[in-house]
Amino acid sequence: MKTAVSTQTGASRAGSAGRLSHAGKRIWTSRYLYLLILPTLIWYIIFMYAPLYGAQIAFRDFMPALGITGGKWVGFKYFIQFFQSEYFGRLIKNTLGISVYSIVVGFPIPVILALLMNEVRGRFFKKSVQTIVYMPHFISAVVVVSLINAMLSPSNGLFNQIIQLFGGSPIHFMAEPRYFKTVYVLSDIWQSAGYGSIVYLAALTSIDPSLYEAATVDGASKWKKLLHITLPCILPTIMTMLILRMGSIFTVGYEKIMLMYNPATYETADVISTYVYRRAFEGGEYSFSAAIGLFNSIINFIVIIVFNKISKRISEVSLW
Amino acid sequence: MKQNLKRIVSAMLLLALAVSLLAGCSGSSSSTPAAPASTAGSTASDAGGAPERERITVRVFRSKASHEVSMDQMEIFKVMGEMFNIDFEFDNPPQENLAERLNLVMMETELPDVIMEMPMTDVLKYGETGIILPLNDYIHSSMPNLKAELDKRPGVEKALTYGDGNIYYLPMLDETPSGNIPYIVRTDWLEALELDSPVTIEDWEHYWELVKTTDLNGNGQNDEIPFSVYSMDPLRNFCVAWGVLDDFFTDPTDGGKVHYGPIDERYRDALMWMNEMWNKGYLDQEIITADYSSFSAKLAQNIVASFAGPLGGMLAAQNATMPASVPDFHVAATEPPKGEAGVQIHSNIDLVPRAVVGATITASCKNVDRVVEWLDYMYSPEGQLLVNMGIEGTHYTMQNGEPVFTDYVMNNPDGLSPKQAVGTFTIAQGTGMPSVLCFCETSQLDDDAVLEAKENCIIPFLETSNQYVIPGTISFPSEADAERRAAMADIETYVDEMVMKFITGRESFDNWDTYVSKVKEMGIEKVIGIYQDAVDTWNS
Repeated sequence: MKTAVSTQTGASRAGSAGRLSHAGKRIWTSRYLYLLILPTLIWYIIFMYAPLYGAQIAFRDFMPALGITGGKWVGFKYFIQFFQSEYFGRLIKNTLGISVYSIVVGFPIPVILALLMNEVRGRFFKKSVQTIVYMPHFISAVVVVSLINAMLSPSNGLFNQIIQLFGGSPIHFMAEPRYFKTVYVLSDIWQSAGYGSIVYLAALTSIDPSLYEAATVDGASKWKKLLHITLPCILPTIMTMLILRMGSIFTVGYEKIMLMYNPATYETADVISTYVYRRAFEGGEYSFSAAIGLFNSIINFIVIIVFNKISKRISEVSLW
Repeated sequence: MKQNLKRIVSAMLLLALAVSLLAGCSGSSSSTPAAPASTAGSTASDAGGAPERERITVRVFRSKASHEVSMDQMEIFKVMGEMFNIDFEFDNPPQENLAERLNLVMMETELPDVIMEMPMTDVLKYGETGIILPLNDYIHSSMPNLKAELDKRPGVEKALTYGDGNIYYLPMLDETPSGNIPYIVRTDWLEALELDSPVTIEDWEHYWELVKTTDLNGNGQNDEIPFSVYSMDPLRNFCVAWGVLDDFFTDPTDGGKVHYGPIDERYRDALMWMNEMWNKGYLDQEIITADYSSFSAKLAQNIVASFAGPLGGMLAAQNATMPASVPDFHVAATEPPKGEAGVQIHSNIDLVPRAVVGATITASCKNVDRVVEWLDYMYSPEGQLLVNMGIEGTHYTMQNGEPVFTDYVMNNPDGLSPKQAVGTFTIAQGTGMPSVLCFCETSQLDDDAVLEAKENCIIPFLETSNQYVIPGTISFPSEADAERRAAMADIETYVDEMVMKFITGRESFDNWDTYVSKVKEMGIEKVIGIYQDAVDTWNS
C-alpha cells in the first residue's frame, strides 16, 4: 500500500482539481480500509460530535419547552456560579484525591498481576487464576456496593467480626469520612485489576523469546531478565495506558460514589460528577450542570495534552 | 436515591425505545370508520361517548406504586377506554424515581398527553413556559362534574389557582388527612414494660432506656435497638417537640413569619438531645448508612423497639406480616412528641380538604376536548365509584346503598393484601388520580391500627400543625424559584452534613454559631424572603 501511495505522489500535479482527484484516487485505492473505519467514524460523529451542539446550554438559560436554542444567552454566568460555589474547592480536591489515589495505588497492580501470571508455568492454573481475577469486572456497581456494605457493616459485617475477634471495637467504615477513599479505591482494584491486566498480558506475548534465550546464555537471573527485557518491552504499552488514564484524572464516575456516599462522608466523597448529577437530575438545573460538565471536559483535555507532551519528552511514547 | 441508578439507566433505554415508538404511534390513531346517519340515536347516548367517534390514542405518564400492577393491565382503564373510544399508552416508571424520570421525560419534544402526579413545584415552572396547559376555561365550560365537586368545597378553587391566575392541574380531592409519617412503637413491648405510649421527650427516653436494658425479644442477647429508621429525616423530625420543623415553616410564636428550622436556636437544643441519645446508644448507629432494605431486615429480626414510617406502607404492613414469625408482634402510631415548647406538631401533613396534583395536560396533546371529557368523567358519581371501587359485581357490590368490596379484595384468593388486590384493577386510594378519594374505599382498606392512628394520633393535631406547616400548594415566580433551587442545593448539602455531625458528636456544639453564619453566608435569608413572599401571596 505504501508503494502505491508513493507512486501516486509522483504523478500528482499542481492545482486544486488535481489534488482533489488525487485524494479521491488514494481513497479509492485503500477503499476497504476506509470502509472498515467507517462505522467507528459514524459512531463518533453521531454520538460524540453531534451532541456537542447541545453543550451551548451551558451558556444559556435552558428551558426544556423552548428547546436547546430557545433559552437566552447568559454568557459565563453558570461557570462563575460554580467557581464561586461553596463546594468548588472541595469538589476539585476530592475528585483529584480519589483519582490520584487510584492511579498511584491502582495503576501498578494490573502490571504486577500480568508479570506474575506471565511467570506461572502450569497452563491450567494460569488460565483459572486469570478467569477468576477478571470475573469481578462483570459485576455491576450496585451489586459491588451491596457486597461492600454487607462486608463492612458494623453489626454483622465480616471485617468487623474479625476486628471484634481480636478484641477491637467495631468501626462503621461507611460512615467515616477518612475511610471512604480507601474503601472506594481498594474495591475498585478488586473489581478491575484482573481485567486491566489483559492488555499487558497481550503485550508480554509479543516479546521475542530469543531475547530471553540470549539472556539465559549470558547467565542472567530471572529478576535481571524481568528488569532488562520484560519491563522495557512492555513500557510503551504501560505509558500509553498511563497517558489515557491521566486523561480522565478529573473524572471520577458518579455511579459507584452515589451508591456509596451519605451525608456523613460527603466531605471526602462528593466529587464533581456526583454534584453535577444532583444539581441536574434532582434539582433540574440543566444549564448549571452542563457548565460544570463542560468545564470538567476542558480540564481533562488540557491534562491529556500536557501529559502527552511530557511523556513524549521522557519516554518517547506519545498518543499522536 | 442510591438504588435508583440502575433503574435510571434502564429508564433511559426505555425512553429511547419509547421515543422511537411514539413517532409511529401518535400520528396513526387507528380510525374506526365513522358511521354517521345510519346509527340509531339511542346508541349515541351511551354513558360518556359515542363509539362512532374516531378512536384516539392518549399517552399517560404516572408513576407506579409497589402495590400496583402496571396501568395497562388495570381494568378500569380498559373500561374507560371502551367508553370514550380511547387507546391508552402508559409510561409507568416506579414511584421511587418519579422526579428523575419526569425530568427526563420533560426534555422530549413530544410529551405524553396527560401527566399525573407532577410535583407541585414543577407545575408552575412548566405552566409558565406553556408546556402544560392552563385549564380554567375547560373547567368552567366542559367539566361539569369537576365544577360540581369544586363548588361543594369552598376555597379549593382558590388554592388551585396560581399567582398568574391560571389553574394548571386537575386535583385529586380528598377529605381524609394523609401523607403523615408518625413515630411507631411496639405496643407488645410497651405492655411488657408496663408503659403507656410515649408522649413527652422524657417518655421516649425512659422507654428507650428500658429497651436497652431489657431482653424484650427473649433471645438471651442484648440486641434490641431502641430507635432505628431508614434515613436521617425521621430522626431529625424529633425537633418538632422543640417547636421547630426540619425545614421552612411558619412560626406562630413569631407572628406567622417564615423560619428555616435547621439554623434555629431551638433546633440546636433538639440536636443536643439527639446527640445525648446517640451517645447513650439509643439510636441505631447505622441510621447514617441505612436504606429501606437494610432497615426492613432489622425489623424482620424483631429487634427494633420504635421507628417511623408511613401509615399504610409501614404500620399496616408490619402488623400484617410480622405476627407470622413473632406471634405477639403489634405496632401502633404515637402522638407527635412533646417537649418544652408544649406543642405537638405533625410536620408531614397536607391541608384538609386536600387538593393535590392529579392530572396536567401538556401542549403536545392533540385532542384536548376528548381528553378533558374523559378526565371529567372520573369526577362524576359513576366515575368516582369506578376509580375508587372498580367494577360493580366483580370488585364491589352495593349493600344498603353503600359500595362494599367483594372477597376478591378483602380475602383475595391469591393471597394479596386488600390494597394489593385493589392495585390489580385500579389505583389504590387514588394517589394522584384526577378524581375524588372516597371515604368508602379508604375505610375498608385501612386496617384498624391505621384508622386508630388517624383518629387518635393525627386528626387531633391537625389544627396546630397547620399553623406551622407551609402548604404544599404555594408557588414561586419562576425567577425566584431558580434562585431558591440554586441556593438550596448547596445549603441542603451543607446542612445535612453538619446536622449529621452534630448528632453523632463529630462536630462540637461550640461551632454552632460558625455553622449558622455559614448557612447565612450561603444565602438562606434571601430564600427565607422568597418563601415569605410566597406565603404572603397564598394567604392574601
